[in-house]
Amino acid sequence: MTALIRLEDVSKTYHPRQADAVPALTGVSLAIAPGEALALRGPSGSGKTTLLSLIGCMARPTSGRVVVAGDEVSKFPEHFLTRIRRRTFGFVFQQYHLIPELSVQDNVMLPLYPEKMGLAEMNRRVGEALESVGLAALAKRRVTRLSGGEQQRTAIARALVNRPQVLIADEPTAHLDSRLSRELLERFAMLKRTGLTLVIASHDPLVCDDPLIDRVVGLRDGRLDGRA
Amino acid sequence: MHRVKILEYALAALLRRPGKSAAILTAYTLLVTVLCSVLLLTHALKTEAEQLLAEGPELVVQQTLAGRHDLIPERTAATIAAIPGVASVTPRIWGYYYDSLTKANYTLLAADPAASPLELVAGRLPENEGECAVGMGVAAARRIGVNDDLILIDAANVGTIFTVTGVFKAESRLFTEDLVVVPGEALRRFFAIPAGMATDLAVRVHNPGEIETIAAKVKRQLPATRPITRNDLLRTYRAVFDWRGGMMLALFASALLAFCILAWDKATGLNAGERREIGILKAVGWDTGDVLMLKFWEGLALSLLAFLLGYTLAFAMVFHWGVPVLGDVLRGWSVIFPDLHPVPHVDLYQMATLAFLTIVPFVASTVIPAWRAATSDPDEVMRQ
Repeated sequence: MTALIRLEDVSKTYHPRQADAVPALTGVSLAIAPGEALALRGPSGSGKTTLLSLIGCMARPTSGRVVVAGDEVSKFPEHFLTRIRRRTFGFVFQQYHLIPELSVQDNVMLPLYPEKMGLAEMNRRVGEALESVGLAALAKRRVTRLSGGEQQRTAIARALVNRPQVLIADEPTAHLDSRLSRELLERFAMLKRTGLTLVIASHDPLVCDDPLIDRVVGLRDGRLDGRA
Repeated sequence: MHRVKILEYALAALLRRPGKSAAILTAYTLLVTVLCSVLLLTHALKTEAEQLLAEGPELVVQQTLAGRHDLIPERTAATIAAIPGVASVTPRIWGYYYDSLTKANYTLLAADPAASPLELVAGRLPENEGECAVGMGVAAARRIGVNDDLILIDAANVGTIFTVTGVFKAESRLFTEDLVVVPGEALRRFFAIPAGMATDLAVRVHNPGEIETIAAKVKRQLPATRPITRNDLLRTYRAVFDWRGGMMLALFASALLAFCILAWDKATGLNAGERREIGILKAVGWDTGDVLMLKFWEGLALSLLAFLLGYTLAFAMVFHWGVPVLGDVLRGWSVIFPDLHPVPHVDLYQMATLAFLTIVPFVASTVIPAWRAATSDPDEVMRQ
């Protein structure tokens, strides 16, 4: 099957050509098939978040190629990358990255502003997304007044509202207890059944060993780890 | 649709930060108020000078002696009247008077009801020997009104009693505030101006387009005179008020600079929260253009509101509240400062200039700091 996302010998260094240059990834090659659920496993600082950023077009590699749906996006101008990010990927960040002053529904609506879409359609899509994560009743509540689990579900709703092809989640169970972690994995399994591709970075065995995961890729010190 | 949605988001974003938004709005409104007050008042004074001068003669001819202003023989009027295009020539008697009692300068002018655009607020113009009409400033300084006596010291150092028959009003008090009008012959005796001499000659012409030509002819035929056209006077007034306005703005420049630095560094710069918000917006698919449009709307909304509030406040200060503080500095002419109430007037070109000067820098100082964050990769912005 043709890969939906392909990374070829990708490296990423933060602050290159400066004294405080930080090599985060070195020579990573990876292919992700459509509908696949891939787990990236590795300790803190191993480069998981950087790899997710490169996969999701949130950052550009210092060297190597990133190909999404047949297009080499690493050379694309910024506005093309934005469009690909908006239409192809949904992100669930480790710290959720919700805007604290906004309500649940306003946070979920954020990805829809740049779309050519009326307010009625935006509200309908937000309603659907909140329904899918069981947060419709809390739509008007400020996100700072939500529990950790509810905040994460808000972040998932925001990631899904644009109906992406790929859901990227960074340490999704880091702030959840085991009950909420299981609920989250069930939700991910449900999304996978709809054809969504999942890329999840986690060092939580509960995630990596879950039957929903098709493949686990290990990372250590910025390199793929064959022992994973 | 897309722009309107981002505008809605921008307005909501300002309301989400009420403390910061209110602080910026207050500071900027005050700054705009000061700037607009100075410019509005300068403009109003110039406009009023123009309106009042429009009522006066097109040309004034003075005699000069060794470069100083001297009395002019009235017979010169006949020479000027013979120049083609001249409608009338009127000898005028007037002079400045220093009143040691109030330590103020008055302008004493011979009564000429036909030529005067001035209106009386009470009483009548002087008609007889020993009568006068005074401006409001003189009336206030000497605490006199209609039927009171005004004693002035004449050329022979003798006190002369004038009975006040009227107190002036005008569209503006700019010119009447320090005025004392007395009958012509009485003023001639008061200043000891010899018969057949006048302070200057007021010349009216048939075609205003010929004023400069007639002034040139006067100068050619009467080399010892100084023809002063209405445009010369207007230029002088403009220069004086522009200079005073410029001085005021120069004084405020340091405050302006301090505010700009503050605005750049604190108010409109990006704090960690705003930087993070830009990163989030980019991560969820907002374009650089969308983010910059958001910042543009934020800056425009704040600065436009500050401009409208500041302009309205300045307008009220200048045209309704008697221009506290600034008025004395800008209009000061003699020791008597008129309580100036300029005629309300909106100049769209001036308003557009003020809007440009106040809104554009603020919007720029909002958008430019966001530029760097908006053009970075979202991953990089959120890691900072």
